[in-house]
Amino acid sequence: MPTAAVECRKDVLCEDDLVGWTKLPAQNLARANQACDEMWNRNRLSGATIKTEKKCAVRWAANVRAQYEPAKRAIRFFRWRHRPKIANEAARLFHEEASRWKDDTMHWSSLARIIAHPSHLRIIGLGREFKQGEIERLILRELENEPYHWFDALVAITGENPVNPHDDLDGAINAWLEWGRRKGILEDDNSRRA
Amino acid sequence: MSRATIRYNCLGFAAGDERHWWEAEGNGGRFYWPQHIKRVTNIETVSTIFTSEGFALTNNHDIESGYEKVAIYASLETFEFSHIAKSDGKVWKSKLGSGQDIYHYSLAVLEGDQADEYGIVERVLRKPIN
Repeated sequence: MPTAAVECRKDVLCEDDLVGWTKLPAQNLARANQACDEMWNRNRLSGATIKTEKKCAVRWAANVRAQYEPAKRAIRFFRWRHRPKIANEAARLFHEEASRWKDDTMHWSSLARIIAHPSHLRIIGLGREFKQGEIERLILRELENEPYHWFDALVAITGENPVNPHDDLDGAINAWLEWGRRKGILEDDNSRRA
Repeated sequence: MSRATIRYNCLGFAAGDERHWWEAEGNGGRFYWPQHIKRVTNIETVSTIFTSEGFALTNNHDIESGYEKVAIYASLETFEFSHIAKSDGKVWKSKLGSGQDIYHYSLAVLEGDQADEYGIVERVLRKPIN
């Protein structure tokens, strides 16, 4: 409760209301203060009671809130509008690293060396950076269309391994694709055909 | 010349196995490593794979009619095993990692220090074709 002298009461009241709005930028705070002053002066001149003054401060706060509501809506719209860019960013980074990895390692015959390549390690990092399923989907599509040594990355990112130790290459690929469909990361064949 | 595939590598190809990726750390399934060979990929163990099949060291790096040959490459940076090519007495053949397999008439075409080259031919082994 404000306990300042009468001549300071308007400031204290306004500041109390503004405390709930301390997120306002400095220049907007000045405008809010000005609006508060005007409201206060109107009430003072009309001989309003303290209760009425508090009601005016509350109304003032509601007015400020309403004033900034369009700005908040604009910020929500901006974030929604740019959401696709985040998904595209994952794909862009993935394809960049995947291309570099395959170009550098295509002629190597040692799997241990291939999976130690920095781009392969960065792809595993992307799996943790972007939302679950994003990078896995990209890897599974690569595995389906142009198989490469993606198995270790999938195990590292997902923590799972659906491949039977006796599976040959085709069995390993099918095991992961089936895993992807089961998890809802890949569309199943029926829905794709539809 | 084949399509690129990760099904087998140069070592499997040289050993006549186009169904497995020959990897010392690999264990079954899509991988293979001879049971009697130490599980490390270096020039000595790769040599042993073929000497145990009747191959012997030779100084002749050319294609020789009547002889199967394998040529083992070593990286110029690490001097470790990098590639192996095979010959049926008519032409050299190589599986380029996960890429295609190719025919070539000289071992020198794959020698060098560029990104897609394999260093230097460290040794050649041969066995008479029966």
